Amino acid sequence: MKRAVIIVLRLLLGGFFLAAGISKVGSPLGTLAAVYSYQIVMPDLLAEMIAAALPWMEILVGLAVIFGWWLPVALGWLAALLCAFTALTVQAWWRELDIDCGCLDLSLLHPALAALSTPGGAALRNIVLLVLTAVLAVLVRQRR
Amino acid sequence: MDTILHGCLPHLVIKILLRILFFPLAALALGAAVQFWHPEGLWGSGDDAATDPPEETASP
Repeated sequence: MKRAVIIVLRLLLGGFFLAAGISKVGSPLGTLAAVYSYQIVMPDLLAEMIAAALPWMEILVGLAVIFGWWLPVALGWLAALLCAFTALTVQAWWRELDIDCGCLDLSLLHPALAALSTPGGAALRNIVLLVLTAVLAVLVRQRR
Repeated sequence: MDTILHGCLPHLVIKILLRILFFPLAALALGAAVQFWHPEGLWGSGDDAATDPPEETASP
């Protein structure tokens, strides 16, 4: 039972990150625009580095979680990215920035899921994903 | 103790650091390589909204 839950969580979290990375990797300027839309003061070089590396980071971490490569490290990065995304979306929500979160567009699955692309919706979704990551990390640790 | 301080521990620390840093370093390298060879994106689409000037709305 525990093994099945671990596999499902790995596929869910890894697949989500993999899809998010693939959706961004095709449009570097769109990703850069999304980075700037959060209105965080940072050097242009840093914003460009984030826009270039973030999609690949999501793809690599997603693949590692799905296939179980260096799982503790991959889960650590998954949690770190989710914490950063949550902080960014919460500050955007707090400042009432009317932006698209720049994350995976789930409205393709169902129009009602478009609400998850708003800062508030994305923050709530990230917190749920963070909890699932913590559950997965605990289950993986118990199995070792 | 000597073995831990001078033998296994530095090796272990380097191994753990390499594993932790692998993901961001590989992502940066891949991102830089793709930007160099495909500055318009891997499949060259999706940036129209970010690059094109906003269309003027036609007045009724």
